[in-house]
Amino acid sequence: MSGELVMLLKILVSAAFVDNIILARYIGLCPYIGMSSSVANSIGMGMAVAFVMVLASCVTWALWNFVFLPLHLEYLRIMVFILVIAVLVQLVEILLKKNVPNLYRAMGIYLPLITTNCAILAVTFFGVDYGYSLLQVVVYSISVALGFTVALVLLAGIRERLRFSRVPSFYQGYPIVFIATALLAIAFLGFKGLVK
Amino acid sequence: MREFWFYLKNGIIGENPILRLMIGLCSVLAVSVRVDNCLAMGAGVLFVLTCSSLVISLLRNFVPREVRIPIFIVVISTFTTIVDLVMQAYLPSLSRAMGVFIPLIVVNCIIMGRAEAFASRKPPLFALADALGMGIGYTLVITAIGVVREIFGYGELLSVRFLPASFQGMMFMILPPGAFLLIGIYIALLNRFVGRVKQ
Amino acid sequence: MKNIVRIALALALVCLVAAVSLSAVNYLTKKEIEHRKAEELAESLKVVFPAAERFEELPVPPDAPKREGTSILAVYEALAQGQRSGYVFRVSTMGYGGEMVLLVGIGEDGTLKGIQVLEHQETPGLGSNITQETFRSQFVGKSIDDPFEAKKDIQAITGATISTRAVASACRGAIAYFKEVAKKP
Repeated sequence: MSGELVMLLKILVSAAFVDNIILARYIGLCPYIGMSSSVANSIGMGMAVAFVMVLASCVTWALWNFVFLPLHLEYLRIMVFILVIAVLVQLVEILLKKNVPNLYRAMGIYLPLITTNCAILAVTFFGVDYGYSLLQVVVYSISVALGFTVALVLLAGIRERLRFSRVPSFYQGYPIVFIATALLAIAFLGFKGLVK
Repeated sequence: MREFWFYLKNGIIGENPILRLMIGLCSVLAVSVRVDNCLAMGAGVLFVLTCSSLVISLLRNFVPREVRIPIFIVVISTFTTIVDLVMQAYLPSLSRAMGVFIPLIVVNCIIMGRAEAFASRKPPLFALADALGMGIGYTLVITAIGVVREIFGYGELLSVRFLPASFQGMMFMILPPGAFLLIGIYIALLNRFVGRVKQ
Repeated sequence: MKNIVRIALALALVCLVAAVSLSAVNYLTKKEIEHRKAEELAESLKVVFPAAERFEELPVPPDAPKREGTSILAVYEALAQGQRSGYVFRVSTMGYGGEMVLLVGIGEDGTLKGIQVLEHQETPGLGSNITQETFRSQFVGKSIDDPFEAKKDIQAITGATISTRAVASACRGAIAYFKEVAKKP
């Protein structure tokens, strides 16, 4: 296998599992806690995030390399990157509303909240800070979104089961969700050292 | 005037952003490994939250409904960038330790969430009260987590050796699982002592 | 129509004020930030090569191949009394948890002057101990002809063999570059 392909595989495995954005890097928690109550919602959220993440990463990568660096406008990146994301989320919202209205309604407030999904902004930063090429950025963002969705679906599965368990009264609701997340995080620690 | 104090207290306890509203979590767990990071983050969030809420509240009658989100974003990201630049210049080691989480203040759900739900609808004085309350509530929780994590994870507090040298440190507390566990316990504790939130 | 004008105007005005204030803050802090970066670099170079008075960066060929799995990021000439007394190499290699960036100082006399770990993603409490003085000090004074192998001439950190190996290979990589650079006039 060529060196380039191996590199891409490494990016995929580390972004999705070893450095899982939620369970290892704590990024993207708000929608994680909010949307993981059902497996169906989780998959939908994961796909929406994936779409926005990949698009945003590519656009910001291009902006960074062709506009920001040559013009020394690095200090404006926080503002511009997040505005790009906001615009893309608007687009996704319009698309969903027209084509998949059920999912649109299920997502409710969480759709505009994708804009403030730390994960997307973080990924746009990492895409340029790690010095990736455009192809690597695409693979990276898809992998992160994959890891995000996997973590989300895993937790949703657990939560669906928890509904039928006897949870101590003060732990009902969010506390037990966090404890379940802690266990998931321990499991994912097992991936460390996978990528040399 | 009584309302001012109500909103302030509310942000700290009743609607504590982290333990009740479940917003602003990412930064809390990632940054809370050392107490000095917590205090710096708390200060940063407090600054951005207060300035943004104030400005957004002052602008609330001049901002057309349709573009309010982009305008919030511009205001919040301006203050976030200021914090980022100032920290890089005058607190470089802290800036490096906190890494990407300083620019991530801009997507801290607390700031955006309060701008939309509160600051854009209330007069500046109340927006200020809410912002201060939320900021203080945030700082208290993140520090409470940080204290436990630093003591049990490193045996230190504010980088001062606290526990005997024979205490190796629970790695569990420094890694993500420990943080998640701790927050779950804190929420449960708050539920126990301050009354349950409606699910 | 009037509505769109209002919207556009509001947006433009806010963006303008934001851009102006940010440019101002950027201008005010730029010098200080650059100053800090230079200071940090000088400090870390000094830790690795205390005998030097100052350092000068040398150009690195853009596609220099890896040596021992280590990429070379930068080369600094260490100068004392106007004479070159050695080099400091900024290298990166893969550790247990991710990329590791180190500074390795090598003297003209063929001995290691010191190492410093700038960035790492090793496990806290285990691999992260590579930053400890007790671990790094064993590299000082070693000859470039030493094998640099964990558990042989390098004392490994208990439970962090891979992290130790990574540091050792980073040293071997820096030494390989040193051998090439030292040949140049």
